[in-house]
Amino acid sequence: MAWRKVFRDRLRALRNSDAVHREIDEELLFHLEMRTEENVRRGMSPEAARREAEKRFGRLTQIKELGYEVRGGGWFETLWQDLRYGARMFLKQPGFTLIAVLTLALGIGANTAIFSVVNAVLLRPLPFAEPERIVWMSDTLPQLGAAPTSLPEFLDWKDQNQSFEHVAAFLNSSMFLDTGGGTPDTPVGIVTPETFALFRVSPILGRTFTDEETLPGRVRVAVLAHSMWQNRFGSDPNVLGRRIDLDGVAYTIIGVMPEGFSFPDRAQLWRPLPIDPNKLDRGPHYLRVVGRLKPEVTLTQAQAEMSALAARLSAQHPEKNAGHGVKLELLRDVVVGNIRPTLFVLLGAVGFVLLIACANVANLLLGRVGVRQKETALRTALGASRLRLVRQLFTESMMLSIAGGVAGLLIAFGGVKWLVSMAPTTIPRVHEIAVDPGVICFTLLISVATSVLFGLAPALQASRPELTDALKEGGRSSAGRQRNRLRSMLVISEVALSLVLLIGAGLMIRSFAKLNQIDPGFNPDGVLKMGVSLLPSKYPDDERVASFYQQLVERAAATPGIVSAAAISDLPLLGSNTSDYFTVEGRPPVAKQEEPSIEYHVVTPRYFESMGIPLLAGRDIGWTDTKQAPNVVVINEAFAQRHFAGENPLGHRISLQGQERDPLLIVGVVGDVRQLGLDRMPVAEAFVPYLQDPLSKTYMRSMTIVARTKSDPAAIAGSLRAALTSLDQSLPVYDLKPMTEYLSDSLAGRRFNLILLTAFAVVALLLAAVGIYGVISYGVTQRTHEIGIRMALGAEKGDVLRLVVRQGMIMALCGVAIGLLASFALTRVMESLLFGVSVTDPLTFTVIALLLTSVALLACVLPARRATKVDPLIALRYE
Amino acid sequence: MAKKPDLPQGTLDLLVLKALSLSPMHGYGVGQRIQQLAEDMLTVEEGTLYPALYRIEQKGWIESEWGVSENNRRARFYKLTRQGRKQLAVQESQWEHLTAAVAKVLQAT
Repeated sequence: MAWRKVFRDRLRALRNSDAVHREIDEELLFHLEMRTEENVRRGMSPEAARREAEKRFGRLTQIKELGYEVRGGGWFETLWQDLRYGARMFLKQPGFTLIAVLTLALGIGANTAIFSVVNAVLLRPLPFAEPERIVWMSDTLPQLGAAPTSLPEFLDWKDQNQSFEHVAAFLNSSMFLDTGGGTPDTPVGIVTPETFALFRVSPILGRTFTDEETLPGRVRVAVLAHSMWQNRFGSDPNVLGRRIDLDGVAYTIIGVMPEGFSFPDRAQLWRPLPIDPNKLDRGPHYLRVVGRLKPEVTLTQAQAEMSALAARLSAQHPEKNAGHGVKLELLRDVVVGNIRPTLFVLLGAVGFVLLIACANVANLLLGRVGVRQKETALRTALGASRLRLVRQLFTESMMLSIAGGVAGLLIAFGGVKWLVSMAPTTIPRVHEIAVDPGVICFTLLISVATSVLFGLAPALQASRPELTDALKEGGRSSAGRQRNRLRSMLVISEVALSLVLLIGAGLMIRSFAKLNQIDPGFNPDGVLKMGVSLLPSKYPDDERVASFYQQLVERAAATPGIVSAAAISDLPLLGSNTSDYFTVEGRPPVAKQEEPSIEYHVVTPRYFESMGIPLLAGRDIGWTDTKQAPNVVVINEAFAQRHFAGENPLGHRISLQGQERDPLLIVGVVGDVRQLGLDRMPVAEAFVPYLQDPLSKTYMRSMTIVARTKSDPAAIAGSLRAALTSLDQSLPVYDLKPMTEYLSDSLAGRRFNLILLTAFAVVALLLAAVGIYGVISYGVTQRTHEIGIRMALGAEKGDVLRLVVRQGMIMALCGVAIGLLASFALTRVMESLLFGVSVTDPLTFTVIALLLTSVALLACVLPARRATKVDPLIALRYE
Repeated sequence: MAKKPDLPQGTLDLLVLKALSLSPMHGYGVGQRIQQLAEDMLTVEEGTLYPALYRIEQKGWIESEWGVSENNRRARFYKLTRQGRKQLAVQESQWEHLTAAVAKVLQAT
């Protein structure tokens, strides 16, 4: 029968291919057929019978839609329907889709990358059993604050406390491992036997150290880290008993630790900390101490007990321990302490970038609300509920943000790799940074949150039930006005947010510029530096070491292209290496706690000349300043000003605490260098001749050679290395680089923050500019008609330009004003990252506000120029 | 055709439950059965019947499955659930109470 086919066709056209739809169609079709047959039985013609049956149904679509929603699969079916619809629409507008997804991908990707750093460094527990019970223990000294402790103090802490299961001491050291084909610098943990029990790790092969193996003559044993066992010994199960050569001394391998255990950070192997019960000196403080709290003891209780213990020790040993205390901190806080503010600032910054990205995409979607108004109106007329429409729009937002999330994840994978490769060594736990399942969950979460953020306003706007308005016209209705207001608000917040980011970046740039302007006190241009270490096995005594360094420095100076060369124990910028108390001869004695301290260096002659440090008075150290000659010292200007104000320091003598030798005659004064870092003021320093240094036997086997070249230091590096290794083929030479590079390396941490923050700020600026541009050019399109009338009535191009630009600039200036206020409130969180600028630096605030305003102006002028080209005749016909 | 009264809000649900309490039936049959039981004093519009069926199904008072109609066609049959049976009893007593009350009011002079 013909009418049956008509029904089928019609229903087929309406229905979707999925099962639930088919079932509902079939049920309704069955009803229609039954009714039609009934009508025919009552004597109607087939056509009339069909019409009557159809008429009785009324709103077929609405019935069906209700059906889908009620029937079991309805939720998923609707979702599937919306997904397909959304996909079709996005594919039809590839430009819009690409921009939206890319914007979101940038925002989500940057957040994911920074979050993976935060996750690895701050959030993930340290890779030890019950890390929250591991405590870092420092000695607090009257003038220096928290510091490492001395061996006897550690032993007292260990033996006399009630709060800790274990207390262990360690040194984070590095030694030269003889591999047969070179002697790479290898991180070594020098530890007490309790260390392994404290971290609750057991060796997978062999054993760890016994207490006897800390005694003199017994310490030549080593435990390997898993990676060392794998890489150097091919996971050989028979590795126990084999020997390795560290700093020219053979150690017997007694154990292998499981994979993943590395404490101190990056340790490749461990050897026992030597404890000689006959030589316990409370003077030198060099040991790091960790403890594991007993289960029932809190940190506060432990702190109280240890403070009491420290007071007791101070009373027992007033000559060395007077005023010493103990400070307990969670290990985790010590490991990540310094980086925390940096990471929070970066996390805040990427959060802003994401908000700006959301505002931009919301703006794009709002722009399309007008375009889609007829579609939504039609759907409403056909019976779609508002909820249904919102749901559909939300599904589309979700699709965008999931696509953005996936693309963002790809960006994050690349970003994390890049971050890790350029992260300064000052970031702890760098090797743990990765995009792991936790990070992926985070990405998923922010993608969903993002879609709510940018999708909510457009969805509510688009689904406003204003059918008649919508069907008539788009822009000039009240809904249109409201939408424009919403878009303006979004742009204002974008501008405000990016201003905050730009000011943050601006402050970092200013700090960095200030740091780069700082005179380090030496002239790095044309200078090469390299580390050199003498293995004790080859150079067992002072004389051999002394003569070798003299040869080395002379050979370096004789290399073609080199003007002068010298060696020093520790270069400027390295921080405090050896600091000593001293007294000035002939001055009244001061209390032990108030003795002044100096930074102590050992140098060869011509160090100051090679570094370009000016000699202000007296003379340089010479090769004639030997142990047979009177002891001499060169001091820096800060020393002279602080301790010899108004006096000539030359001719005075000073005595260094802990050195049992004749007082040192001050023979020279040199200019200040920034010893503790470019961002720290110069401190008092003393330079002692290499040949007179009493500690050379144990400490000064590693020195840094500095060589001033005539021209390009990088070109000479190779011949310098060759000249030095020609003296000793197995000589470990490391960190050979131009001094300028060394100088800029010292700012690596700051440069890292600077680059990231600037990158985020630039992205923010671009997004904000795109946002302003989008809103203004949309506004111009909407107002074409009005502009046409104005021009027909005699408005000049300039008037139109002003009209449009003014609209945009009002938004931009509102955003700038809000952003300035927010910056005043927010930049103080960056205080610890800045140098030499105030957190409300007026110059930065002004320049950045002007910069953003100019970019906004540009973003307004481009569409405004289009407005001036409107042809009144065409515009008046334009709808 | 004489104008038939509109059903008061919610009454259709009661009628559908009652119709289905006799035996499971497809949508068309439910409409027909209500009309027969009302001796043609009521007509149930398809535009209200199916939404009512879907809604009641969503509430869990009825459930549906495919069966074969009296003229050998595939048709979706609805039947009361245990919950629906209880609901029918509740609504019936409410309805009696309501109509008795309304009748009393209307009888007042």
